[in-house]
Order: sequence, then structure tokens, then C-alpha cells
Amino acid sequence: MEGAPEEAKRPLTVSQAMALAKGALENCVVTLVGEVSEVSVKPGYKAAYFTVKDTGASMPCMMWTNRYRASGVQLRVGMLVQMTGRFTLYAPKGRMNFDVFSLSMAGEGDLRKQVADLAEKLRKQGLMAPERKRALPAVPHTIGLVTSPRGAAVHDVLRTLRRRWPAARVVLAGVPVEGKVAPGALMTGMKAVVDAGAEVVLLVRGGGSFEDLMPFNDERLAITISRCPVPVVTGIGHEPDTSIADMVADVRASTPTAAAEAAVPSAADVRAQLAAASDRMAALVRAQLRTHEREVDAVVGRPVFKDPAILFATDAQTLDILGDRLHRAIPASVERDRAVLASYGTRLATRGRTLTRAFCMKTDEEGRVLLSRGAALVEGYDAQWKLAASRLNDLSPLAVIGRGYALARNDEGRIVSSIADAPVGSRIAVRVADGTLSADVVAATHDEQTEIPWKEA
Amino acid sequence: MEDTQKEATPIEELTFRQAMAELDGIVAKLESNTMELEDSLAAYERGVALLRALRGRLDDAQQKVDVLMGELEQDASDEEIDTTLHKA
Repeated sequence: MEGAPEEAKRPLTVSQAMALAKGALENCVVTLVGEVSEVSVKPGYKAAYFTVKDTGASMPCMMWTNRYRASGVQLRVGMLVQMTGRFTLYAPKGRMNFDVFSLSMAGEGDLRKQVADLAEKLRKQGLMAPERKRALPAVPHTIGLVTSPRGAAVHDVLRTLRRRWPAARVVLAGVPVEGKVAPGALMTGMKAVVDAGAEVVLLVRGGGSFEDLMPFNDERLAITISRCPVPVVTGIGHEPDTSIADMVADVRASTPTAAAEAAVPSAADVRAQLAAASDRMAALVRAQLRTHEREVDAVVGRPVFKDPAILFATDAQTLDILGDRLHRAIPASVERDRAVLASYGTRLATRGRTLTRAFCMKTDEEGRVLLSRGAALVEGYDAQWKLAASRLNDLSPLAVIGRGYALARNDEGRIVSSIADAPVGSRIAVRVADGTLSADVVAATHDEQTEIPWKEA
Repeated sequence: MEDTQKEATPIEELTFRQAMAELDGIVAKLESNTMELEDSLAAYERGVALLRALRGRLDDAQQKVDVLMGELEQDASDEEIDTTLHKA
């Protein structure tokens, strides 16, 4: 160790080897175009760190903060950039970097554009409509897990499920999640777990670059998710990337762990829920028992159970009072009525006699008046009657006939008062004082004054 | 009373979800305050049995994982996971 001559043959230290490599690399200055796939630009850092890639390779880059600011570019994942720089080594980590001198934008990344176009197409087909999103089963018995069997994601999920809800059975489809075969493998895995009885499917993968996540932007996988008979929860990569699988899933969680948390209740929560149900149930039954107890107590405490006589006490009292009143009321009223009746009898008899006497006197008086008036009337009427009788005799046609006048009637029996009543040739009956003559009209002479006979009569 | 007896599927045959649902139903029925005391007590008894079974299942639960496809690597410990996480 002290021998200087051996120095040349001695192996290099790590630092020496890295320095050698660094020297060789740093001679190579290139200009290239690539898609930005990872960016780490933080205020405290001395440089901006990012990765660029194409379909075949990826390259870690760093750019000193003053140069980065000077470039005026805001690095974003998916951006296509053109840059000039040289390769270098970061010895402490043994990591190769591309030291960027200058940077400019070279247009939007093609991959992003493709994904955005597909997302738009599927959105138009309604695959992302909010009303399509299904609710997850509250307590799933079987959970389907589709992810890579290697890496952290699968264990993150299993650990979270175990911690929160060990009662759930997990059916796992461990499939490749990167590369060309990934979309088909993910679809096969989904079918396998659904066939095995999964009530919810977790489709997860750990973080990766935009390109790593490309299988989750596959159209066929998107359609398979949208048609899956049970709800699908995604937990793909990390924010802020959102894959198409995330958009069509029923629930999108930001990480695999978050997806597992979304899929199952927490055992602690369920225990608390059970405890609450237990307390509530006991309280309700106790309350009901207390209510019934109070009801029974209330009935037992009623006076009727203590002194049954109370049942009819009021009625008995009422009856007594009524009976008493009745006994007093009946004889008293009869007595009173009898006295009133007797007085009415007396008054009626007195008044009756007075009335009778008065009427008798009045009748006697009127009878006398009537008798005297009646006699006076008879005398008057007698004289009148005699006068009327003599006048009646004077007026009688028979009396006239007795004085020599005759009464002629034609064959119709009508009195002949005109020559027209007894035409020539007709027979007339002539009434005289002592009989009737039958006479034929032989001639008629018309007087000048036909009215005369009426005047004479 | 008839109802509870008719519905009384042996608890072992109920899934966790079914047992939870029945328990919720019992609480709701008790809350409605329309049951005869005898029915309430029978329901309560059933509820307690359900609770005991549900808690027992939670206590006894062991995660079961059926691997349908692929080969699951052994779970790394938390320490290993932390150290193997590649840091940018």
C-alpha cells in the first residue's frame, strides 16, 4: 500500500472512474428533439430536472436554473422540445445527465394529441357521462385486482385492503401493464376477476412517465371498462396525468392506495357503525320497556284499584239527592194543587150563580118588549094586508073581465093584443067572466092608433 | 313475531352485507315504535345475535388472495419499499 511503483496497476477508485467517464462524455455536444415526459422544477433547486423521450429511449436532462429561466420555456409533460447540450455525469449517484445549454419548444407532443383526440371521441360517444358512473358496493365480498404482479402497486393495494377490510376476498389478475401487450392483458385480467365473482374491479398501476401509462389510453380497454358488468375503480400513476381509463371508470382514484381505500369500507368505521346500532337498539328497547312500565304503573295507581267503591260513589250520591228531592217534592205539590183547585171551584160556583141571574133578568125583559112590539106589528100588517088584497083584486084581469072585458088567446095560447096575433081564418079562445068562447076570425081591421088598448089597460 | 321467525335465516348463512342490512332493518323497525313489546324483544334478540356474528367475522377476518393470473411476488416490507423507490 505504500509502494509507489504499483500505483499504475492499481484499480481506480469509483470517483476516478466516474471522472474518466465524465471527461469522455462531456466532449459530445448535440442538438436533439424529444418529448418531455417528466419534469421536476422546484424553487429551491439549482437546476430544472426533466426527462425527454421518443418511442425507443429516454434521457434524463438537467438545465441550470439561470439558463432555464433565460430560455423562456415552461416545461410541461408531453411537450416536444428541441435542445442543445452535452452529456455529463452526476458522480455522487452515478447518473448520466444531459446538460442542456439551450431549449426551445418544438410543438405539442404527438402522443398527447392522439390521447386527447381519443378522449374527445369517447366523450362524444357518452362513455364518460356522469350518469353512467355506478356506485360501488358498500361492503364488497370479492374484490378484483388487475395490475402488475410485480412492483409496489399490487402490494400497496393488498396492504390497504388488509388494513381496512380484511374480510374481503381478493382475486388478483397479475398482468403486464406496459408495452404493446398490456391493453389486451389488462382486458383479459378484468374478465378473469369478474368471472371469479369480483363485485368491484380495481385497475391500478404505479407511477410512470406519460408513455409508460399509454396502455391505459387504449380505446379497446376504455370500451371494456365502460361495459364491465361491475363498477371499475382506477388508480393509475400519479396526478396530474389522467388516462382515458380514468375517465371512463366509475370511480377514479389518484393512486393505487386511494383506489383500494375507495373500494372498501374501513373496518374501524364499520365497527363504530355496529356499536352505534347496538346502542341504538338497546336504547329503543329500553325506552319501549319504560313506556310500558309507566303505563302499567299509571293504571295500578288509579284510585279505582285502590278503592273500588269510587266506581259508583258519585252515582250513589246523585241518587240519594234525587230521591230526597223527590220525596219532598211530590206531597208538597199535591197539597198545593188541591188548594188551588178548591179555590177555583168556589170562585167558579159564585160567578156562575151571578151570571145565571143576570141572564134570566135580561131574557125576561126582552121577552116582554118582544110581546108588545109583536102585537103592534100584527095590527099594522093586518091593515096593509087588507089593502093589498083589495088592490090585488082590482088589478086581476079576472076582475076586469068581470066588468065585461074579454081576454082573447090565439091557438098557441098567447094573448091576442094585435090583429097580427090572430090572422083571419085562425081560431081564438075568448075568455069572458063565466067561461070561454071559441071564435073564428073572419076579418081584421087595422086601427089607426094601435097603442090605445095599452093606454086603457 | 311471525315475521321475525319467518325471516330468521340462520345467521351463518347470511353474507356480511345481508346481516348488516337485516340489522339496519331491525333498528329502523324499532325506531318506528309500532311494534308490540314481544316483537320488539324478539327483534332485539335477533339484532344482538347479528351484531355478535358481524363483530366475530371482523375479528376473524384474514385476507384471502386468489391469484388467477401471473405470479405474485412476495410482499416487500415497508422498509424495502422505501429504499427501492427510485428517486428522481
